[in-house]
Amino acid sequence: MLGLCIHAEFTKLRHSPIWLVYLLLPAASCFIGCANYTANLGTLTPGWANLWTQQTIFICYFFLPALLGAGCSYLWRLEHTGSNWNELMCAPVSAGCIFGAKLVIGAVLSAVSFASIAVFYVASGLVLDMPGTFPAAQIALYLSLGFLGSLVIVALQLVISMLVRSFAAPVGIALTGGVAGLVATMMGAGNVFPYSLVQTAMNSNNLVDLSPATILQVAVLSVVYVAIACVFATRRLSRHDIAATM
Amino acid sequence: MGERHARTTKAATQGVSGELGLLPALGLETRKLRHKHLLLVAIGMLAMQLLWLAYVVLVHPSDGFTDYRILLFQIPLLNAVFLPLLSCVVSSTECDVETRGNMFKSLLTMQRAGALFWIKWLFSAGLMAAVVTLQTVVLTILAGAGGLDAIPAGELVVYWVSTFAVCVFCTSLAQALSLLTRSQFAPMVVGVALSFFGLFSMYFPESVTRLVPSAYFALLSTVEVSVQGKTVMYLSHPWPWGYLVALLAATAAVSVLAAHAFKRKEL
Repeated sequence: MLGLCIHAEFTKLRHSPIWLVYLLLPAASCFIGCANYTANLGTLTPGWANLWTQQTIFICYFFLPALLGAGCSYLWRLEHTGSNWNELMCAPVSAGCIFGAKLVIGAVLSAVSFASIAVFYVASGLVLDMPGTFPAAQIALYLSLGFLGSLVIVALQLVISMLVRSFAAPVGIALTGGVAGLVATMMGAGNVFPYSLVQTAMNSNNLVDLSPATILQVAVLSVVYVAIACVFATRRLSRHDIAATM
Repeated sequence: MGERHARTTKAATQGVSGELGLLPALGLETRKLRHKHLLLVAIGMLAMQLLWLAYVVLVHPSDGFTDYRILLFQIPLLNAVFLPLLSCVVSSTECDVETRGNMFKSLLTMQRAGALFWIKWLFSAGLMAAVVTLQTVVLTILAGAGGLDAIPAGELVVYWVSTFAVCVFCTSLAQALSLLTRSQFAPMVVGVALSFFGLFSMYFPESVTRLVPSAYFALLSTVEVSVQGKTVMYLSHPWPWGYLVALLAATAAVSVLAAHAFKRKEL
């Protein structure tokens, strides 16, 4: 059943250019990060670590949450149009599958972003002839843990977009969440606040110590937050399906 | 095809002059935005901005530092992140009411397409004016609470005009995309991109910065920073009003072209 729902979600996204955005924003971030890195070589220590910081710092804090928010709004867009909500509620699939399928697609969108970040980071490092050994294990950890943290944003934004039947407002909430995440990180709550987890995991400005305990905490909390969002959305879809008006 | 209007005017607007007045039309737009949580989003974004500024001014004050220009230097940076996206959220939400309900065909038999476009434009601009005004008032309060010198009225006016002008450009662009593409994803992505490039471009030479509309928050600022060793000094320079003229011309071009395209658009 879940497979069918995922297939349906992919079908809805056919011929949609939204994939490109998830590919291109990290590319732009990489390009600007490289320019900034090259321009500030007098003050920065040359190496892969500083290139990582320059390329990911702003995208993780501000723009990835907003972009994921826009994607989540897009995923609910069709259901909120016309009388489609009634049809969704009448569909012979469980509420859990409906939300789960959207979560999977949101995860794929996020994965595209993280793959793009990785590819452009490695390519730009090679082009700029970075000194030192490529920190493969560290970058793999940042990316995989960051992806897990991004799933929390996807799950929360899906819930928000499901409840707030407006396309744009959830995107604003996502940006605000990203900034609140930065504030939480500065106040030492980066391992707990949902929108901070991706920032902590990506370690874009070395504000956090990614010790094994922190890694475990981020991973466990990510799973917990996603599970809570899924349970809430499923219950909501199962019991509050009546508001089907515009 | 010319502008569509009033095929059923007599029946639909009997007793009225044929067009909705400005205030009733604005009132109508306000009512369309009920339950859209727009105000909540705007206040949330403003609150995050001001929390950040409060952190700079109140939490980490330097001994004996009273220069209000620290606020006027910091705020364009935050504006570049928040306000382009907020402007796009406002415009997109407003245009989405008709788009989502596929109401244009019905609505434009009673209201001129051009009038609808400009009412929406005016409404978005008005909302952003309120946001910028609120922000300016809180800036003044923050300066007082942080023990800084009072911000001169002239500086506040320059700040208000500069910030508002950039916001109006962003709302115009977002409205054009919302009404012409019918996809709300496009204005949202443009909003994110404007925020993204607006922030990043500030780290580049002015020749690059000029190409990014959202970087005009900083370009129109009258404050610059000078770092000599460990001493940070805030300096004033004359208002680069030439940038404002360029921005206003760009806003007018985008809005007029978009209005024209919307009037001629086949529904």
